Amino acid sequence: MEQVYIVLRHREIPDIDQYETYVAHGGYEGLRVALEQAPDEVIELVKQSGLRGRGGAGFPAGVKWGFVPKDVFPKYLVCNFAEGEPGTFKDREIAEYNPHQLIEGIIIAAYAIQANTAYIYHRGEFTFAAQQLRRAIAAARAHGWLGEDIQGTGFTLNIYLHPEAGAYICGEETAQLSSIEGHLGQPRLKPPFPATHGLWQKPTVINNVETLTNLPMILRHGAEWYRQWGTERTPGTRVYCVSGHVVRPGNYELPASVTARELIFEHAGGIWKGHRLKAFIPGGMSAPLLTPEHLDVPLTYDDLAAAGSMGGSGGVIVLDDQTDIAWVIAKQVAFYKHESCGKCSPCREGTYWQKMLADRILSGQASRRDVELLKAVSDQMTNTCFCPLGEASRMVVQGAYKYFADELYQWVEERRRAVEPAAV
Amino acid sequence: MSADKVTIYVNGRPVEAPAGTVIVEAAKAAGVEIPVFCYHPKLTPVGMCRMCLVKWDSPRGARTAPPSWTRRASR
Repeated sequence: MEQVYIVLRHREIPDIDQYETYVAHGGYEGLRVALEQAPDEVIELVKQSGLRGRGGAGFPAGVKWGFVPKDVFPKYLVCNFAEGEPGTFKDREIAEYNPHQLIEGIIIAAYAIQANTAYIYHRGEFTFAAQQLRRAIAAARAHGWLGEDIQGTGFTLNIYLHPEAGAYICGEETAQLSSIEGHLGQPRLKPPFPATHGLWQKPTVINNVETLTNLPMILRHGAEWYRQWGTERTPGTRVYCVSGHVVRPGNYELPASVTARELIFEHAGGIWKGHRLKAFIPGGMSAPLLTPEHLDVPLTYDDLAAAGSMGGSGGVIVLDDQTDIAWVIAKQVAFYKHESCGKCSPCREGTYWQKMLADRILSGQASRRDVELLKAVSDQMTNTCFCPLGEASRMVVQGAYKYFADELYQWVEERRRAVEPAAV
Repeated sequence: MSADKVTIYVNGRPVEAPAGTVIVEAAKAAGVEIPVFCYHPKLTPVGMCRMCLVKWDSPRGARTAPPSWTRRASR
């Protein structure tokens, strides 16, 4: 399959971050189409296109908008640009080099749900992206696409940038809302869902950058055009961020039905240094890893879920055969332990135990029982955590244990023999 | 919240409770004590300590372990 540029259009059109270039290539036409329709018609079109949220859960965007009550004002739109998932770097490239398409998508989404205020919750580290977005917002405002009475339709929208303060948990939608409100960035109880009780208890829609950036092209070309790529349940393209032990890491925008084999071995150039593939993580670090036998699984949300992993954010992390699985687990749980917000007990205590055990296994001072205990702690966290962070932490350990338990046991026994003197 | 009565089954025993009652209270009325830690009747539910997790069957299929008092009894 060839790469298809719906979101990463700057790869084909240089200088698309300039307003004039963007308009010359059909910019703001999608928004013009949207403004000619009723908001409900826009929602219906996006439902027909089958666009699914690219943040991780893969929830259909049009359905999410449909949950917003019609008669409660004000409403808010939040663009989730807190791209903290390790192994994911697609939103950054989009916002840095194709910012106008993102801004246009935000205006379309805000019009569809009739929100008059939109926030872009961006990572504080992305200063260049924030600068690009600020310039794009200023250009859009100067040409009458933002502010009061947009293009004479009477629709008003203002976009504000809100920098994240550096917490992974603020990528979770309810924690993000708390953070925007000025509270501690910790997730909130669901239900009530943000669609009815979001920012300041008002209806709020939170969409990922890539989801919103797809909208202008869908509005311009229609739902059928978008459905020519991908599968029935996951139409369109996805940006896969390939990292790890490959020859050509980077972002690849491909139809969602692409297989892992094609992505890793054709587009990313295969495993580096002539090594062999040991495992790959298909959807950002939070997705359980898969082994070479899963290489022919299409990288759609449903197929990956059936294979025991998840579509996630599209960050494909490739591990070669020189990688120790004990090291991988230790790296992963250390991250979750550091980023756990401490709100709920299973995650706060569970990730602490996971890190302690994983470090012990890595250092070679563990016994078989420590591996069993690591598995047991992860099993006890199952379905008990408050938000997906803790669930991700137990899923990565369970996933690694499922395929590499033998290697872990072998690892601890070899290391143990090395540190303990032989019995006299 | 309406004043309707709903029937919930605690360990298989039917209990009538007004719609909107938190499950931990309904269970208490049925004589089943669900251990709680961060719950207090005078405070709003937060569901942080996860001590009160129960298994429940919803009309949309079996769910495992949401905190028992942040869910309210409904039809």
